[in-house]
Amino acid sequence: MTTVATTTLSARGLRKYYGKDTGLVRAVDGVDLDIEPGETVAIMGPSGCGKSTVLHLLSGLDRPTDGEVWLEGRRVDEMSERQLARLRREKVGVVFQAFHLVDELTARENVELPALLAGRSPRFARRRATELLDRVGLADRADHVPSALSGGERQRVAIARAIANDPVVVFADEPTGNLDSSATLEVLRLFEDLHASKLTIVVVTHDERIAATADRLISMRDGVFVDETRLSGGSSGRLGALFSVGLEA
Amino acid sequence: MRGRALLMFRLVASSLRRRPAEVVLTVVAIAAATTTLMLGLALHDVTAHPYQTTLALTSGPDVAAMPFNGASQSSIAQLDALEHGPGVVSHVGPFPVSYATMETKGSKVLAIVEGRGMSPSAIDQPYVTEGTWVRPGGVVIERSFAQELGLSPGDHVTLGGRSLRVDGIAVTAAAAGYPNTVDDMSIDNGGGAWNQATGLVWATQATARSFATPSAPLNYILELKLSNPASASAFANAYFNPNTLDVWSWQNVSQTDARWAKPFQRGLLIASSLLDLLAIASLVVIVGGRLAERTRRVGLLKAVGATPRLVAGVLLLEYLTLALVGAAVGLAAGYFAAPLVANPGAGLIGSVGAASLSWADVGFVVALAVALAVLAAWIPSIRAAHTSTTSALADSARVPKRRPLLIAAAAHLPVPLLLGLRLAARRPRRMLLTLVSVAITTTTIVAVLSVRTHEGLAPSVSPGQFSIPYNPNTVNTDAILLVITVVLVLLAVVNALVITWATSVDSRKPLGIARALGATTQQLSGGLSTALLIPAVPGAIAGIPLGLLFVTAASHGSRATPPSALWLAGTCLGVMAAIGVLSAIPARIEARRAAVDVLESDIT
Repeated sequence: MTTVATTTLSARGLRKYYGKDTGLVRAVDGVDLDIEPGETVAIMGPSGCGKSTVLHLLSGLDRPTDGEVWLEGRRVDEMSERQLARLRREKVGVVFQAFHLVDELTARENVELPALLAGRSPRFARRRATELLDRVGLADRADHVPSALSGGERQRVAIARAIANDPVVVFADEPTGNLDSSATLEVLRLFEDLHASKLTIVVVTHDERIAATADRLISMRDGVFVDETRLSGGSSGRLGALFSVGLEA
Repeated sequence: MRGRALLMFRLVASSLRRRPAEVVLTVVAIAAATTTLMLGLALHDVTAHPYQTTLALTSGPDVAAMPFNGASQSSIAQLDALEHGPGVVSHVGPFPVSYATMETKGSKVLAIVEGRGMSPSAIDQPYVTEGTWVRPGGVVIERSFAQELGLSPGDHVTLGGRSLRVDGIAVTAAAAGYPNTVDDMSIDNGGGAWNQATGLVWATQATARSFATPSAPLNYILELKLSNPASASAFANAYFNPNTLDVWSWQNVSQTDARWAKPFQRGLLIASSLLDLLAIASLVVIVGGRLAERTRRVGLLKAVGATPRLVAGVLLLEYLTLALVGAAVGLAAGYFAAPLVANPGAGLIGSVGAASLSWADVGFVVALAVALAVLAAWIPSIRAAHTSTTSALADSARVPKRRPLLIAAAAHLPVPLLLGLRLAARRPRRMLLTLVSVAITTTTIVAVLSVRTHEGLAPSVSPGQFSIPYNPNTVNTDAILLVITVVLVLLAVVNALVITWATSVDSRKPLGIARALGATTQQLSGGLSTALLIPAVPGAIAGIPLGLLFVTAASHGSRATPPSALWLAGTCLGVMAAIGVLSAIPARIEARRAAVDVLESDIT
């Protein structure tokens, strides 16, 4: 078995319960997981199965009721709030289904934010944001506020923001959940790009097209992992076909 | 119809149950506004009715006169002329008046000793409230004077070196009560020692005459009844001579008695206006803070078939309920606090207090509360009528303002300032409201401090010569200031809580995002504090001159005594520190929640 010391991200006996007595909800009920560096893992399952909760626990956005989370050999679940903040700032990037962009900031200013919070100079933050917006194909939309962007564009801004500080792992929670087909393909392209750059990615989705881009697919039901499939072709093999399907549609 | 009423009742009850903190803050804001308004109204004519009662009970004179320089032949002749003045229907006196030092129970004061007969006088027969009227070997002390010295019948005083028994305590309408007696019975013994620590004493005429000395010669007082009491002022003015004869009317005495109340009545009315503004500012923030939620609720109600009228009715009923509860609390607080601030003093018979609160006053206070409620329900109701159901359901808070220059400038600042400046910039109207609220709070605090500073000044009297009992005017002022201070502190805290709460609710999303991106709790709480301090600092600074101006305006420009620079700086810093501390609380509370809960809660 792989040890936590050699993996990028690991979880052992991860549990998250809400409520108590008869109202007890076992959102996550004993999850073990090891993710290798550069690996893309997709977690799929029906609504309410606990997949988003797992992602929140792994990314340090929430604390488990029980169990351990390790990131690059460091125990995440025992970190203080200050250490967690640092983790989110330096090691982790999160992409949300609802984008969570700051409404009054332009695309560029939103992407600058992680660098500014990390204490980087405004000049560095601007240069980095410009570079990332170019990478996600939004150089010409950099000065637009979120309300002037389409859903796909907003999600691309969110992805650019998630990788602004060169994180170790990018977590994506239903990144295409609010997008139409063409916007979904734009986001798929980006994830392919991130995968190719050997970034470790954990994506929660119920979109099979997104899942197909992963190296490994984990199925989840009622708070536990019920199946795991290693996808032989990885992302690149299937993605071309998906683009064709999307474009034809 | 009954079903509809029941539905409205259920909707209002559930809405109120869901938002206990908002309900409490709204009620407190309305109650504080109505309490101060009630007190301001309670001080109307605070001493007018008791004076009239005393005037009638003692057959008080319409006009009284005393020569300035003792009983010379010419001054006696002047008094004779008054007896036959136009409109004079009767007179008593002249009664002999002398001046003596009085020592009792460790106090040494000055007394005006008025000589009287033992039988009742047709005019100005002081009303004995305790003991008996004057007898040989005894004195009767004017009630407010006696109260200050702690005297009661049976006690002994040393008057002009002679030990005399206190036979009784009485009130009069011919001169103002202690310590303002000397204002009417203007006297000058040449030594300049007469001051506000001078009270009135009645004795037999023989006793009064016995205190006359070459340095403080005997004087006389003449008291008149006119056919037309309303003309007393004109009569007094016609005969007054600044060099020889002091003549005063019952209106002068009434005004002197009421004088202590006037600046504070005026001050309280202005203070209540300021506090009302503060309460309105709180309500605007409370209502504005939940406008988006309200609109969504409107959408929900319309989606299940409620008409805009029903929706508006529910909103109005909800705020009306809060307004009436707030008004009831305010009326009760005002009712019980009014006697405290409207005590007419021991120099007069009768009382005002709660009795001076008319139904019109109560109606006015309730109308104010209802107006606040209508104002609070108005905007959501209008939006309800004009917004489509789907739009209302999807409604989110107004898109925040974008200030490109501030956003760019903030990028160069440390993280807490970066967050704070951007938060402040996104809601300029709320920031303006915060500025105004803090300015009003500081204004009122400075005003209260100014009045306290003034009242704390010692009376101008030669040290060591006389010991001055405490000043009852100060006691009344203290009571008023205490009430204002309590209401102010309460409302200021409510206001600070409301502003902090509204700003933190509004900032939850950007701060949640910042937290998800790695901002620490300290940075977030620093950001929220900065966002509030940006408008609070100029507000607190502006409040200082405004407070001083307020006191000057409230006291006709004569009684403003600014607190020391240290106090003013302390006030300014205290207000800012309070805002800073309060604003740190929500960020600390948020830090206890998981970052994802904050981010994904229903925040718009």
